Amino acid sequence: MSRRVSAGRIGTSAVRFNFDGNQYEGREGDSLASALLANDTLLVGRSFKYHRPRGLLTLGSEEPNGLVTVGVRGAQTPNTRATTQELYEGLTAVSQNRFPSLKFDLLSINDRLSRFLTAGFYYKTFMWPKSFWESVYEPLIRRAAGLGRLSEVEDEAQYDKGFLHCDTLVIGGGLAGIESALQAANQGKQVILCEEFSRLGGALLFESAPLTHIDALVAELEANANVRVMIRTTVQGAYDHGVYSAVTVNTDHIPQSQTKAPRQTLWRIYSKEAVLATGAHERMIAFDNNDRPGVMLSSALRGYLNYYGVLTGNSCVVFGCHDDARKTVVDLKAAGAKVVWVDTRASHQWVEGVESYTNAKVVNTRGRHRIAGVEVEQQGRRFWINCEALAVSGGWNPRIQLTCHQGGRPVWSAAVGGFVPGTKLPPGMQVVGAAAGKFLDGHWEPAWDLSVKGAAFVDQQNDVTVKDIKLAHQEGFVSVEHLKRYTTLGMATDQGKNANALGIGVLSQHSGESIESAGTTLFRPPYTPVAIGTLAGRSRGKDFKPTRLTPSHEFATRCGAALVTVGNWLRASYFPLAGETHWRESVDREALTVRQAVGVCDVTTLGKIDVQGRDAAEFLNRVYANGFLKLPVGKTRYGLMLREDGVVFDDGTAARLAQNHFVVTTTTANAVSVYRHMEFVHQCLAPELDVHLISTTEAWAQFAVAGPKSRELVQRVVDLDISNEAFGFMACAGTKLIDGTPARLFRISFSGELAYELAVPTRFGNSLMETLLDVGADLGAVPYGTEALGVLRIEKGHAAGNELDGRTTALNLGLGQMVAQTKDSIGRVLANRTELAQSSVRLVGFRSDQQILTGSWLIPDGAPAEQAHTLGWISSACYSPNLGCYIAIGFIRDAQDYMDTQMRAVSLLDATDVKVQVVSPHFVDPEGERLRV
Amino acid sequence: MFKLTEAPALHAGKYELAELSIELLDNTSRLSLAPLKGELEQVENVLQQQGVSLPAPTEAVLNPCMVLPLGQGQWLLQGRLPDLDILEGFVALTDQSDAWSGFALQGAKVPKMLERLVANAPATYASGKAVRTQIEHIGCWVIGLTQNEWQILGPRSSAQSLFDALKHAADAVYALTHNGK
Repeated sequence: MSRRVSAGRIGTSAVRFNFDGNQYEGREGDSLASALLANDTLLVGRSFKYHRPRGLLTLGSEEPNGLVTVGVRGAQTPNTRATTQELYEGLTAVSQNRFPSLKFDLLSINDRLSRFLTAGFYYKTFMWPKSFWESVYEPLIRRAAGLGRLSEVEDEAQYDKGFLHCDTLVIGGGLAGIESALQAANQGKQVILCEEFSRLGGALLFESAPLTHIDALVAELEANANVRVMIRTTVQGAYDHGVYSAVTVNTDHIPQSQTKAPRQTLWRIYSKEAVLATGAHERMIAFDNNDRPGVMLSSALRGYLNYYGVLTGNSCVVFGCHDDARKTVVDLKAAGAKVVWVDTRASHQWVEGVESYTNAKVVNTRGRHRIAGVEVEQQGRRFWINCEALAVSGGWNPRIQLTCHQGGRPVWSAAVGGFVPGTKLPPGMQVVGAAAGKFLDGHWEPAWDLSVKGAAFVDQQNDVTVKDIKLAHQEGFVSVEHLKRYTTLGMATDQGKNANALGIGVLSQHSGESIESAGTTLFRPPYTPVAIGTLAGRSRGKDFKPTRLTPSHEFATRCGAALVTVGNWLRASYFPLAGETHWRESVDREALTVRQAVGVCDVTTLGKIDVQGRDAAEFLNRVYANGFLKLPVGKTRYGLMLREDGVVFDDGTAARLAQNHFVVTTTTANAVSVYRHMEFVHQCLAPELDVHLISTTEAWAQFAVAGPKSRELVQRVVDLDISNEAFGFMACAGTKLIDGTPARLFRISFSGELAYELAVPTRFGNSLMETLLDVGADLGAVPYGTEALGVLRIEKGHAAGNELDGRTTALNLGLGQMVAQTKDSIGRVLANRTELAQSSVRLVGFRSDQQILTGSWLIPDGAPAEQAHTLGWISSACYSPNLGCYIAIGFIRDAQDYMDTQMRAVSLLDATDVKVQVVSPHFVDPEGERLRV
Repeated sequence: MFKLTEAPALHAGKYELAELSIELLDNTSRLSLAPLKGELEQVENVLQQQGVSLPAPTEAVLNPCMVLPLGQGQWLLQGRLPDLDILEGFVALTDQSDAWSGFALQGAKVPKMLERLVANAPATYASGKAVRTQIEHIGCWVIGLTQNEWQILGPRSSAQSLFDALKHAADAVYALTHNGK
């Protein structure tokens, strides 16, 4: 039986835990794996495809079989490796991939059907009848796929992230890593050392030799101020420019109820150089039924004994082709186990008192839920040896995964008997110690496939056998890349750590192609599985992206406004009054009130850019298609900005507050991109101009006051004569309010009504909104939101983001005359190229008594709704309360031929086909009289 | 007759834990200053007379007012602003008081907090240094004051999001120090 025979190197306090509904006791410092072994529980899971009973193969993060689900509900984490899960009081874990229980699994029948479920069987099956695919096969396959199950409850843990900088990143806290870290630190470098395990020491921790030397080095390291030691930290990926990702496990070893700390932290580490000191891990040999519980890697079995004090069996067979197996034989014998050593090599260094067989091999095992014996073949003779555990030493695989992350390809070393780093490493990385293939000792002779019947597992996690590899080769998948994809060898969560080298060795043995020539597939980040929550970090829920609040946000929420996200901004969409139960009621009311009385809308979100300098006007003349040199002080002008290719980039206004001072506005969506564009022009295209730019979007709260009574309302608050004579259409001024608050006033209109935009420093914005509505109560003043704002501008026929969609030109928008031909400006030249200049597409309006959907395609009456017959598209649509019908604006070709005709607006996505009449896009006040009153 | 009232960027802008505090700096005067072409020397002279210098990129001047390099030929002044009337016509000045919200960070644990928020190396926000960076997708300044004191400037409209980000990082540092084993 498997039991604890000593204290090992862990604590002695008892720790209670639960596995598959059974209570157990372990020790402080145990892993879940070692604690299960100490309780003689070898069976920990069922294999993926065949549902074969499986036990622990390793004691590290490369474990392929011991995958369990830890925790419940919001803390449930499937596919947790029992070998890396530290034990804590009250830990609850369950095995996976079995029904109804681990010992009795109904799907173990798959094992008996294995000859039908070989590699690639799904490419040859599930084809008939065709109708079964969606209704039968796919649901069944989906249910059978995967190992663990998600809780489907939100993960209740907090996650964290951070950024670290160092001169030297040492990856691996074994002897080579510690020495490298000390060397770098003593040279004055800032060092970060990351170690996956809960303490430093690496492989030496799991050997029987005293730790005196390593303990002294660790003490020296921890006392060095230049070193930051990060235990429980796995470096997951090597990225460009010296960037590495790492995950620190903060609380997976603590009962969740006892901590509020983030569960894991994802680090981005910027390092000038890196030392990969990740050591090596052992590999299996392929022989029939090499996957029974109790069959373990030799170093793992030895490690459980030396570190955790657990002897996996009173009688053990050690089987290998490598000198390292001798260490296991010696340690097992010292622990009092009955040991038999089977070696494929012709000779080895004997251990006194141990029964040994050389030139021999294990060819089979027996036992169901745990190993009971091994069959040995020696010089043609076969015999059985009873045992409780089998330790296998098939050679060593340096942990070179990170060397591949930027395309480096490992090379085969016959001397090492494993793949070692190639010549192309991530820049700044060097590899040391066992990771570089530098073992302390060890003679090895190859032993790949010793199977007789072919039921020899190569990739235990994906149930890939020798037979599968032979089949793949036979079917023409001869490249290792094809072998991997066809058989799924190396595609499980251990990413081939245990299977790759063995699989390539088996392939080489049977194909005759050398391993050097066959090569290996590459490894990719992450090194070990990473929880999605860890990648998300703090970016969840409302913290996923920042929110920008408008100055009148407090007012809006107090009014119960419906809020809408516009990029990062949160804007009031509409302001429902008591009794209004549908958004259309509110929006229609707001739009009507603006046209009949006055409304106030927070338009702070539109970009504002302060442009100052002796060449400010010339600068604007270059970035806008229309002219600004002669704009008088105190006047605003609508501006059209083109891209270099002549397509419209953005529109807005530029107000000349002083001879050398303009305030430019942009659309909300393009506030940043226009500012960036203007800085690019300033710094790179026109550095000779004396001009300076700065964004003032945040600094000023700005409100549209629109409607026939807007002048009366605004006059009540500003200390300025705003009669039509004194402050005509498109006037602007820096001024102040009656109470002395600094302000800016612009007579501009987006709605088509008499309107102003009034700006005050942001801190006064909320108060100004309230004041305008209070002061304008007798005028019927109402707040209005983005929905009514949209309705009003569509009624007026103003282009907005939907129309400036990156494809349309000034000509398409009906603004071709705005592109001045007597001056140079960005986009002018390419706007005149033939394809654009001769386009017949124009912005037009549409009316209907049925709802028109934005995005609908325009099809002539009687024509089929097909691409070949489209005339254009609907860009913006709404219900117009002022007109009492549905309206839209959009683009059609040969617009002049279709005015006042009927066509159809078709949306295949929404299955709508609506008759529309083509009209002018300016539904309200097309002559612009209301603007100038 | 009405009188507009001021609203702070945040209503509850203070957060304290052991060895770590975050506080909103309200009502801070800020101004962007950009000497017009050819006027840099004159502007610098006028400022020098009042003890104010214009820092190079990545540097910060902390006294008598804070000065940060805002862009090419452009600086942000904050705090007790110098008298700039004499420079009218020679500089482009823009009030930025309400464009930003500032947070004071104090305490020995602040570096641990900042390494969770700021991708830049700590040397870039050491005492007397300032770095323009992003904190949780918010464009910010991180300014090093004294050994245990920093200031963060972010856009005013995102003050709540920035404060939340600072608090979460502070909570993580505190919990890891006191709860994690």
